[in-house]
Amino acid sequence: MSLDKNILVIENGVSSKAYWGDIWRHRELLLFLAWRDILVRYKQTVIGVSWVLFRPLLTMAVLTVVFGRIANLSSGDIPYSLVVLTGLLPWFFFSNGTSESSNSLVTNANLLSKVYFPRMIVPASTILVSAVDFVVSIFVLILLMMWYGILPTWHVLLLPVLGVWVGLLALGTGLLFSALTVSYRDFRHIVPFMLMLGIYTSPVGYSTSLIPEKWAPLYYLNPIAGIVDAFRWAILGQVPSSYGIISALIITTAALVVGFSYFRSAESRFADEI
Amino acid sequence: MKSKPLSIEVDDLSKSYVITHNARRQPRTLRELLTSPFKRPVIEAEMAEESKKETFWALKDVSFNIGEGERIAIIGGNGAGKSTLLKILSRITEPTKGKVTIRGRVSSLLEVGTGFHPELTGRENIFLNGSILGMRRSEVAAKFDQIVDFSGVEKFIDTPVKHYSSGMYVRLAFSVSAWLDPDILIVDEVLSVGDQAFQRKCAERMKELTGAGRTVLFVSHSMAAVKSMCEKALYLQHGEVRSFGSVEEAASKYLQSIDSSSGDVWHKGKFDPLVDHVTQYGFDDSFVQCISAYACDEHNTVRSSFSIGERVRLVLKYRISQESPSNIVPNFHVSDEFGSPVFVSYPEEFSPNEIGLYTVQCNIYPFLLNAGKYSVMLVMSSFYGGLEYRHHFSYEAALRIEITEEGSVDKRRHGWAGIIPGAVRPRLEWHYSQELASETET
Repeated sequence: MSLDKNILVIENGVSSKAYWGDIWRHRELLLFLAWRDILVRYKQTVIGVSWVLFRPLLTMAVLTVVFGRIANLSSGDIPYSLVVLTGLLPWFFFSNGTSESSNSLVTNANLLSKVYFPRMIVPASTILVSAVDFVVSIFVLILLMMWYGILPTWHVLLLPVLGVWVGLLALGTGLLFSALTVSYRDFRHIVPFMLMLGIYTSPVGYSTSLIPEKWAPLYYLNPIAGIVDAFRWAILGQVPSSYGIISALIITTAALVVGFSYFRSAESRFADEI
Repeated sequence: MKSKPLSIEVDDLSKSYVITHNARRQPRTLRELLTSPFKRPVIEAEMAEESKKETFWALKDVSFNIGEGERIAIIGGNGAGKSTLLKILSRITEPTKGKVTIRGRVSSLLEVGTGFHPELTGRENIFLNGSILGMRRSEVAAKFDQIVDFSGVEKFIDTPVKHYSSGMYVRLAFSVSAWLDPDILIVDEVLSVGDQAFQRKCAERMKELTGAGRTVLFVSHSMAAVKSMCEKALYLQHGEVRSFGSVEEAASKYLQSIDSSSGDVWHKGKFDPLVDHVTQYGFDDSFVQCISAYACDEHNTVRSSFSIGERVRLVLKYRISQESPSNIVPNFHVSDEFGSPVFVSYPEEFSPNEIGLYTVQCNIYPFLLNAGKYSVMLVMSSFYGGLEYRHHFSYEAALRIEITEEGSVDKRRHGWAGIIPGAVRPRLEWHYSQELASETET
């Protein structure tokens, strides 16, 4: 009777009650998929993993020149490139995570139609990949801060928490869009487009202090705005807009709830529709 | 028999798909989804008529129970619902109705090498694939050497699999699957991979795997594989269970249905090269042409079905239209139902060489062929010594005959009622002799 604990009932509409247990049992797969994506990305490249460093560095340089030199925006007494990089860290994490995870179910269609595992593992693993990039880019930030001789305050200890926050936001939107992409491939075009606009509507290349007071409620509907504020507070000590933080927290929670519940409701159809 | 606990219970399982005959109506893009409510009702009605939605039942009220440690084959033609059933049992897709209860850890092998990535090395893919199949990292690590050894690609284990030959690729892929260790194993037709030697290795490993009290569900089109591996078979047709019982019973029902649905393709007692289209080698030979061929009994009645105790006569008519510089030899290649050669037969003398019509016949004596289905390839060859030869004509599977066995035609069965394996059942000479006690001592 040792098998009793292993009883599995398959019925229509009754998704397994042990869903979380299933995810836990497949935790290694989560890591393996992330590991695969990281390995594959740098196969047959000459400079390999250094690409993780080049992307934020080059983007930082361009944004610094465009916003800091040409548009001549001010960043107070902090070097402009540091302001840009602190904005880029969460932005890259969010945008890479969202775009990769939105596509993830479709690109892994062969897995979905041949093997069972909680489908959530696929978009979640891509967030993990972006998280690794995020951690690596933090080293770039550390180097840059040492270069400018700027010491962070104790706030910097909250950086891991903020990282998890961005990850959760990307997971929420990623779950929603990945499930939508299975049925409607339009989202393969919509998501990159939204993210392209997002880099301008988010305070990546500039500081939120430039946003006029009356536009703030509208502006902070973009959760990245609040999150970037939080990053600049943790790293550079700039005072954030509490309105922005609260708004971003609410929107993150909403994204997680909506993404998760839509994903769960659509999950059983994936293999048939993909 | 009641004592065996059930490991899989399937009750009234059904799965339907909606198929739209006019694909335009299904809102597959967001634009269609968003604009569909605004379409004018008249157009809507017109289009609705054009596009009929049809519910297609891939599985219909399928019920069966499988006891612990039983090995079950699932057989049936294409579209019978075999894969759908496997997909439901392995939780890839949900049933529309009905219920399945499974006791034990399930592994399903619907494909070998699921998730293999071409850029990753053999070593990396073993771990990835193992994890996808539900193995733990430590489990894969422990079995790693066995897996590599089994696959026979040790030398290339750190080469990206995109550089592998397709044979190496499948061998590695199968090898990972071969070391799964579940309570219930669900296998789709994945055994037919690699070369002959590797296939035999796979089949042996499958038997080992399925031997240890494991419940196995196995889909295959090869009746030989089914018979060698499973005790019971579930025969599905159009999504419904036609038969669930002994392998012989289900297999014969399945083979019968193939014969009846496709107008009895197997039996062909007569062959006319101008009418029947079969695979042929050698065209428009100027020396010899085939006129016709047939299989008949001792009274020259053309037949395609013979009793095992009967003499089968194969007759070939041909024309020599030009004297050939080399000797011409007719020969018959007899193969089993699945195309594996059983024997090739040549006459002792070669054919007369003068221009004219000729008939050559060959008698297959009783009890040479086992009960079963056989095809005959007709060949006319010239041999030039060593490995050089020429086919004047050759028609593959030109004749298809069946050898049947009723009751106790074969005295040598000694009452055994089951199947006697093998392509041939020759009556070999046997001798008894008694050993004398004094002789055994020295």
